[in-house]
Amino acid sequence: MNPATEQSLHPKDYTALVSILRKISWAYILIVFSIHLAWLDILPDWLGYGLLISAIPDLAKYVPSASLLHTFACLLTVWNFIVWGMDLMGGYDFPQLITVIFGCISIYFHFQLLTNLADLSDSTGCSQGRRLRSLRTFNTLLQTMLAFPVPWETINKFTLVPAFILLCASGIMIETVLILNQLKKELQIH
Amino acid sequence: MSNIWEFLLQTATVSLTAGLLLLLKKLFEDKLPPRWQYTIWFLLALRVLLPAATQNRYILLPLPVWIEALKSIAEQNLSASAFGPSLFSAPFDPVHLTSGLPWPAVSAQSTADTCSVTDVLFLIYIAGVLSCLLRYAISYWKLRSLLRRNACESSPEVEDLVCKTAEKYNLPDCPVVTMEDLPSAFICGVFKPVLVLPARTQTDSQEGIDEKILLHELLHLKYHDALQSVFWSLLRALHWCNPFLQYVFNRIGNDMEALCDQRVLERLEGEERREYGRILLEMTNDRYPRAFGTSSLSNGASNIALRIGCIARFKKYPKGMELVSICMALLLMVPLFFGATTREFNRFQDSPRNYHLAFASARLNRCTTMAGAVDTFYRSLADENSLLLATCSPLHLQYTIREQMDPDFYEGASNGFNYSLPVSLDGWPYDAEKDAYYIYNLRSAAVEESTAYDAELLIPLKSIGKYSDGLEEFLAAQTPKQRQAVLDFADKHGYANIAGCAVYYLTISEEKNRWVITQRAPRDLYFTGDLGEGFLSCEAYAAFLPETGYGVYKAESETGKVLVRQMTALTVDIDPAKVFSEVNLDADFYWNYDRETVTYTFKGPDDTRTSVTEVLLEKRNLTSPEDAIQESWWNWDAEISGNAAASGTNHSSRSWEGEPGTWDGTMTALRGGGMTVSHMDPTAQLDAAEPVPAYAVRIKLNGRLTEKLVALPAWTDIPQKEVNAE
Repeated sequence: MNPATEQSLHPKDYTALVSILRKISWAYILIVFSIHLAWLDILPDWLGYGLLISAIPDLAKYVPSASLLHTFACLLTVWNFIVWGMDLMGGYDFPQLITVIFGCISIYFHFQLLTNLADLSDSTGCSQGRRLRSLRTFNTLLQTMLAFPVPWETINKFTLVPAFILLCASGIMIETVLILNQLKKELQIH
Repeated sequence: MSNIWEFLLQTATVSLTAGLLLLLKKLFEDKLPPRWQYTIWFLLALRVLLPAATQNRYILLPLPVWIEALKSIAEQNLSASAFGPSLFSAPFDPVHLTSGLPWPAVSAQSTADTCSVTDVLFLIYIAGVLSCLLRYAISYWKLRSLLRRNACESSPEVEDLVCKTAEKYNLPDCPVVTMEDLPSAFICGVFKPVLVLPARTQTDSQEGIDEKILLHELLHLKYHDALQSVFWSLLRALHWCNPFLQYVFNRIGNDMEALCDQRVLERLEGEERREYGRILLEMTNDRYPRAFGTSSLSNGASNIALRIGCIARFKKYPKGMELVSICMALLLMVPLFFGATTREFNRFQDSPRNYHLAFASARLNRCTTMAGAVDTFYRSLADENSLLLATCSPLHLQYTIREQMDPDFYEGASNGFNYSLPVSLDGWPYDAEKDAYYIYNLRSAAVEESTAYDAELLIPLKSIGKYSDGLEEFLAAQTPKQRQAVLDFADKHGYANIAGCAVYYLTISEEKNRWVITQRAPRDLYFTGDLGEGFLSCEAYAAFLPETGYGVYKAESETGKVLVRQMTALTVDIDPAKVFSEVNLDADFYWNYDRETVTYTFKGPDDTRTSVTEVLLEKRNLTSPEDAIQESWWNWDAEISGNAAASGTNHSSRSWEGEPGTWDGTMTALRGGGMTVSHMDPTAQLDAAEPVPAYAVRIKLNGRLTEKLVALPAWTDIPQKEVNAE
């Protein structure tokens, strides 16, 4: 059922949802993974958020609260573009307060988006709702930890705590992409 | 807060925090629940109560530097005027908040006898705080008196309805009274709360009393909103003269009401929620009785309009949103409380108007370690920078340093406005890759009531050319014989190769949680000549420390003399690539050299000297000079094995064998080594290590004991007069 209209979903709706999920999946691949060639990140985060800008209005037709994310998606796109651009030019130390504010926006954004996707999964009879809700909790905690003003890049990654964090981060990233793909497949089946 | 400047800094910091929170709340206005919108204000409450960071860590804007610069300008001008100096602050006493609460305190640097303009302003501020608190107390007392006089006990039906409402929603209840001419219900009191209802309910039937009104008020009671209201009022009083913060505290009150609305709506369903909105609408024409120690359903027409907007947006926020709220609050705490910017040190300024800001910045920067203070002092000489000198100098020298500054504005120069020192090293410091200077003989100083250490700072020098100003000064510091030696050396090797060293006599002391440097005596400049392999080694330069300096022991007889030099040399942990570019106020000591040099010089007849084919020099530490009185004490052969060049801690020896006539009459024994200081505090070792009281030195020539000398401390304390930048 479409929670927005409280009517049964038409097959065209499922097709549209698959398309939306495809965009979101690709967006998350761009956001969570990074491949650097020297200073250049060839999987820039801002491209991922740009994809989300296009996916969110369509998602909002089925999950109305997703419309709250559009402004933040735009803000995150611009912010990540600036950061990517400054990295290309050798890096820049942004004021800590600015990075913390955008950290807060990012935490909320991903939490709400994953919640919306979980709601979508429940309303369309898919089984990924519970996994998505668990994922959003772990993702929130991880993002919070990484957003703290700790010089993670200078810490020896082979000691216990950073290694554990790195492991969790890797697991969450991979799990995110897998769950989204699984949800997409289930919608395709429908 | 002990003066008006500290209040200005505190209120500006709180205002900035409030502004940032307002921005965040606007961003998340329709995204996070009223619970977060209100609770986030407790970060502001903490910010009000905790002192603003002043050690050059700040939130986005360098408020401490601005306030410090403004203070020094204002207090200097006022001191010079008829108003006189301030009692609570001094021009160069850095703003240092220790509390968010006001309490006047006389500044240690103040020279005033009476209050000045800024002191009076601060006293007016304190009077304002007290009068606000008094006003709150009086208004609460008046309200309570009014209730006692005019309020009536409510009817049994009303009381029954209140009880049933409390029971239905699992809320606490309280005594209920009614009063005439009351616009809306409210809870009055913190410790003995009373629910006050408008008197029209007295004559209405039970159905006329809206349960939702009671629900709202009982929720205020459950969550102690009256107590929270008192808390916010107290914080408001601390910043009574800041109109922006008054607006913010009004917003906090409105957010508290909006949170109560949220709690009401969470307990209602469907049509009841719309009815609740209608009840609020009916109150838009009513007066707003905001009173101390109360919580009310109505908070003014415009605010009710905002609350109705929130009700229209009401939705059940997803579970887990509390986690997001907590995470965001934790993240925000770090920059808001601990500052988000590390110290920015303005070494060079690009315009004279930044002169005051630069010196303010210098005063606020702290050398947090002894090594940091010494390193900053060294750099002030090497860079000819008064700002650096100001950073590592005591407060009472700040004015002198500023007055002696020679602002030389170079248009277009890369270093811009150069705060030249009148006496510096003028291009002399050798651009060493490491070990740019040594700190010799760091030891406790005999200074009462403070933690202080003496040391000699030795800086290797190298001339940059025949026509440099530094060369003239260097030559002027030499004796005629030494001057000639310099010129002869220059003729032979070139002026560019003239090498020397500068010795500074420093006292390093603690002042208000920072380490500062004063010079005990004028510096000395020495010509070192060609040191060969000894260039830049601490042993070679130690020879240029004064023979009356710390750690020198002497003994002399008719046939010989002994000089024992006990020496420690520290270096500072500096990145070789950044020797002349970055200031490290938190530097650590890096390498600790520990040396003991015993030098014997034969004074006897020349024919005796030329007959010597074996020399044995032995040294032993004495716990007291009286130890050596006993003859048996000198028989220490069994304790030392062999003729090692250096052995043990308390003994050292050196031997020489050669052909007759080849001995030059001197013999030197070395003992010591080096080790990294890493995180070890050298001062902890200083406390434990006392200087050796005396040394016993034994000389054997050709296997026969020739000399027994007791070397006693020969150093005198350098006079403790202070030497400023000159």
